Amino acid sequence: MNETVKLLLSLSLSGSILAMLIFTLKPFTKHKLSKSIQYYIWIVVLLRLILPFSFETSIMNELFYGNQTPVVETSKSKVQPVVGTAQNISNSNSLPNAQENLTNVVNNAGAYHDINFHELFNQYSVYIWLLGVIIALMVNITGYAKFLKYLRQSNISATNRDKEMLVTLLNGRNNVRLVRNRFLNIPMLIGVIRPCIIIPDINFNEIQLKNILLHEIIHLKRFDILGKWLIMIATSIHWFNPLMYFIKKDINNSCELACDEAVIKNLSPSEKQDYGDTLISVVARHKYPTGILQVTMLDEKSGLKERLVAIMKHSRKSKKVIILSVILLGCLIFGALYLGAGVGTGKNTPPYIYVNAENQGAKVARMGIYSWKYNGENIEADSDDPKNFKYKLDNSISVKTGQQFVIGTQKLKKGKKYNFSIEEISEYKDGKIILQDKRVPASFVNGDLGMTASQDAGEYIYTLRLNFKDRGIVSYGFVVKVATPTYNLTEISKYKTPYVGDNSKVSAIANQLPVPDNYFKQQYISMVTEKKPYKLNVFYEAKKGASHISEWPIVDHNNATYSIMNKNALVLFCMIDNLDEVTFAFRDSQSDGKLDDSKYDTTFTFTRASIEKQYGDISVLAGKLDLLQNVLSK
Amino acid sequence: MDMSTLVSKITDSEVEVMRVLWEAGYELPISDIRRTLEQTSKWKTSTIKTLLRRLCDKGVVLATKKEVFYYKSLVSEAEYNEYTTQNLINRLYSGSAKKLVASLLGSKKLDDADIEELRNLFKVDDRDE
Repeated sequence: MNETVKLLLSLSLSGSILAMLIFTLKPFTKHKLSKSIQYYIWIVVLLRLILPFSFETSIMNELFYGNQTPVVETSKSKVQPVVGTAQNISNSNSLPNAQENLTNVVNNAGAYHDINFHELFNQYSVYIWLLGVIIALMVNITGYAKFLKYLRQSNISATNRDKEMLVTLLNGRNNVRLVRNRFLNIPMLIGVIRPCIIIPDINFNEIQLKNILLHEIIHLKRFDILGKWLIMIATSIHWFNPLMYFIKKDINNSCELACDEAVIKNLSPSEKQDYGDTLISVVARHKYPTGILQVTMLDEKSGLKERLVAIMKHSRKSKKVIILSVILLGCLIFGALYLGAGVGTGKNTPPYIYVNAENQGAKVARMGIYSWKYNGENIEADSDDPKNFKYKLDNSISVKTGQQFVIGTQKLKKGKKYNFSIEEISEYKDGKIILQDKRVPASFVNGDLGMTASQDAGEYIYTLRLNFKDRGIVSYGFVVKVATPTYNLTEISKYKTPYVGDNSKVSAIANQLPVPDNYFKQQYISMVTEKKPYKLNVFYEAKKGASHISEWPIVDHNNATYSIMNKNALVLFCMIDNLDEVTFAFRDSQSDGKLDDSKYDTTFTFTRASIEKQYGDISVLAGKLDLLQNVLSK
Repeated sequence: MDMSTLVSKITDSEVEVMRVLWEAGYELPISDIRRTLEQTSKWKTSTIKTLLRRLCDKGVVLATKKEVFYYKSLVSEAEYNEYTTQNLINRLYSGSAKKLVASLLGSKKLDDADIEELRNLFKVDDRDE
């Protein structure tokens, strides 16, 4: 199941379980507990429904992620790897027993690539849910915004008497505006940041006005509008959960009851009577245009009745009840935490490792031995050494000599990222290990591991042992096919010229030189031919639609790009007799049809002297093509 | 029937006819109404007649017989706009706006019998404290 779907369902289920518990207990607690506590209990449920926070050992995590009992792979008939007969990709007829004990691991990697129907459904269900959320939010927020807009048009300033009353009740603190509205029938509080009390434009008497304002001030002080937003957000997120509509109703109910309770807490019996009478008189005055009244009024009546009864029955809670309430609230918070959510931070199998190189699809490394901690369990999977695995095309990447490739837990920058450290990296060629000092050390770039292919062509098996902190150590293996850039010297030599100024021949040669990787193409050349030293500039730019995955721009010389350009320079000096200096310039973007030098951020310059120092007399190499070919393929 | 009940029953098409009367400010014969409406709509004379008859039935428009029938609006444009705003606010409130507002009471009206029942029920006991 999709992780988002799991999280969502787990939040819904968690909240629903708590809500069912509250609904069950309600007949017993309704008149005993203070209304405020009953309201706060609901807030806990709301937060549980909205916040995806969870401990890893929570019930929901266990429920949604715990049922995947891990398959522990063992190989009883483990083959001792024998150097020399070890299989790599080129060796297609593998030993049957070696294959057998790897089947589990192969399936493991293969399963990832099967997009089955179930998965498709899960993908769509996320979008359906999201659509519902967006619609619900849009309807609510646009409705509210429109309401505010029309309300503002019909607001009139409150009378001085109203304002004085508000100031008295607020004890001088004035953080709320007060207006009257010609069309509104019910007093209300609006807004979180700039709260405003709006009362109908009716001649209330002193007592009514005081009670109305008291009620709204309590709403203000208790941040009830924030609660309303929470309810709206929770119902929008969990629109698919029918229980939400009962939860919503009950929260709104307990919000009003809690507010009434706070208002009457310190009132004398006669003041309480006045307060309740105010509620009744406002509802009695409540004039409504016809047309909206089709909906049943039973709800409204029972709601108001419940409030009036609560006011009548209100009594100070004994210490015992208060302690009990706090314990109950504590239990509920604990329950909410314990139920948790299916956040799925733990996985019972280690993550896949992907190998990425320029302009190639991501390849997946094969998993070998691992020990993995999951939900307190330690899972050990036994397997053959990755160096003996039989690798498929899916596990091998093709690069040029010295080219960079990146390994990480994300497939093309998508998916969950895990951090790891290196326990060991080994590189094998023809079954023989390559000594560490012959390799370019791997380095981390943004949590991914950047590696550099060997300077020698051939097929390499890389085995890694990676340490995922607090989770376990996993071994992986993959194949890197390293090819030398090819020079078709017979073709190139057709354009051999004594002069760098020979535009058509020079550009034909430049065009036939290998590019550092598939990401680049050669586009322009330019020359300096007025005076010595005669110079040639060869420009490379990004291909259309290609994306660069390794580090760019390149600064050091220890990379494939440099080594290929070095050989390209050699070929150019051999083919163009009076060339003194060549510069290869790169830009990580496309040109717009003309050459703009300033856009090229990486350049490599070679002089005839520096190349001769490296490869010997150029005139000798230029004369014998097979000699040159030999040098180039090294 | 009070004004709001009268106004609440006017349909959108009928409002178009009302606008002609409001704009004129005095009573108009059907030929004048038709001439104005021809510019904005494709209504036939029979349609306009039906709309006018309905408006008369609702008591929003008064028809007086002189040589032909003359029609006069009984509701002013201002009154109509007031009403629609009020109606809109209440509709929005009963719809989604209610969810984001802390109000004293719910949005639905109770009838007199219910209110009487609640009044009789609600008596705070003096011995309470």
